[in-house]
Amino acid sequence: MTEIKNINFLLPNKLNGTENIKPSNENTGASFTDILKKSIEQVNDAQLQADAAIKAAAAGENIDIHDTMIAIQKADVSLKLMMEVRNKLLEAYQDIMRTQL
Amino acid sequence: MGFFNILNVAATGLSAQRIRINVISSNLANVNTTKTETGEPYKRKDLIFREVLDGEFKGGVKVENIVEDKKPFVLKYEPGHPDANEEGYVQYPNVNPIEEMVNMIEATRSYEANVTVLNTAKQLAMRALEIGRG
Amino acid sequence: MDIFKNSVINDLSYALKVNSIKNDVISNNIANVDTPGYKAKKLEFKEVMEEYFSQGKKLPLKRTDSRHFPGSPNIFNPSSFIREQNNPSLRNDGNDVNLDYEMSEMAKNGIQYSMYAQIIAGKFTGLKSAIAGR
Repeated sequence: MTEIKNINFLLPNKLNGTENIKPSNENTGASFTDILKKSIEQVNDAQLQADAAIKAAAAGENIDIHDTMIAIQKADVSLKLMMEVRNKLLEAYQDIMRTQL
Repeated sequence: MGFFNILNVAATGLSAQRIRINVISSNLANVNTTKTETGEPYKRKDLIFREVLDGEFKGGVKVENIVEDKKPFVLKYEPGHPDANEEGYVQYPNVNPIEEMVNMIEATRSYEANVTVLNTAKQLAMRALEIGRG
Repeated sequence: MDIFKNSVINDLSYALKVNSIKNDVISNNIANVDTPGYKAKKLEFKEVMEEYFSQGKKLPLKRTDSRHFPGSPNIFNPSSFIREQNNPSLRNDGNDVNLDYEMSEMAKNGIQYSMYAQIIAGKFTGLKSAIAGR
C-alpha cells in the first residue's frame, strides 16, 4: 500500500510541473489596449481627485490651497495629454484608411 | 492643517494683544485714582495668557483671566489730601507708569508681529492660487 | 503612463506641505510670545526633507484616502518633527520665544513657499505647452 502511495505522491508533482508552464504571451507586459485602458483610468482618477479637492474647498473645509491647485492642474494636464494622444491616434488611423485601396 | 489655521492663530494673537493694550491703558488712565467704588484706590490689572491647546484649530493664545495685582499700594505723604489717613498718608494705585509704558510698547510690537503673520499668510495664499492659473 | 510619477512636482508638493506646517509652528510661537511658561517650538525643514528624499523613493506609497494622489508621500508625518527650541533666552515668566528670530524665520519661510509655488506653476505651464506642441 505504501508503494502505491509513493507513486501517487510522485505523479501529481509531475503534473504540477507541466501546469506551471503557462503560455508565454500572458507574461510579456500588457497589450496596447491595456495600456490605453490604464491611461484612461489614470486620467479619470486625476479628475476625481481634482473634483474631491474642489468639493473640500467648496465645503469650507480646512484645506491647503496649494494641494487643491496642484490637483486641478494635474487633472488638466493629464486630460490634455490624453486628448492629444487621441488626436494623434485618430490622425494615424485616418492616414491608414486613406492609403488602403 | 490647512490655510485657515494660520489665520486663526494670528487672529487670537491680535485679540489677546489688543485686550492687553486695553488693560494697560486702563492702568495708565487710573494711575492717580485714589478712591474707587470699593473705597480702595485703583488696583493695577494684569492678564494671564494661555496657549490654546484644544478646539477646531490648533494653536493660538487666549486670555484666561484678568487679575488684580496684589502688590501693595504706594503711600505718599500728603496731609492736605481729602483721602489722607490719620498719619497724613494717601494710598495711591500700585501702578508704575514707566513699567506700563514698556509693556505697552511690547504689546504693540507683538500685535504688529501677528499682523505680519496675517499678511504673509495672505500673500502665500495668493502665490498658491497662481499655481492654478495658466 | 503616469506622467507625474517621480516628478519633481510631487517633491515640491510635499515641500509646500512641510513649509505650511512650519508656518503654523512659527505663527503659534508669535501668537504666544507673551504666554507665561510657553516654550517656543521649531520644525527643521532640511531634516524633514532629508527623510523624504532618502526613504520615500524606495517605499511603496499607500493611499489611505480617496483624495490622496497615487504616488503622494502620505506615509510621512512632518508634524512628528516638531520639537522645542530650548532657547537659552528664558524670561521671568518662563516664556522663551524670541520674536525677532520668529519674524525672520517667517520671512525666510514665505520666500521659500513663493519659490516652490512659482516653480510648480511654471512646470505645469511647460507641460501644457509641450503637450500642445507649441
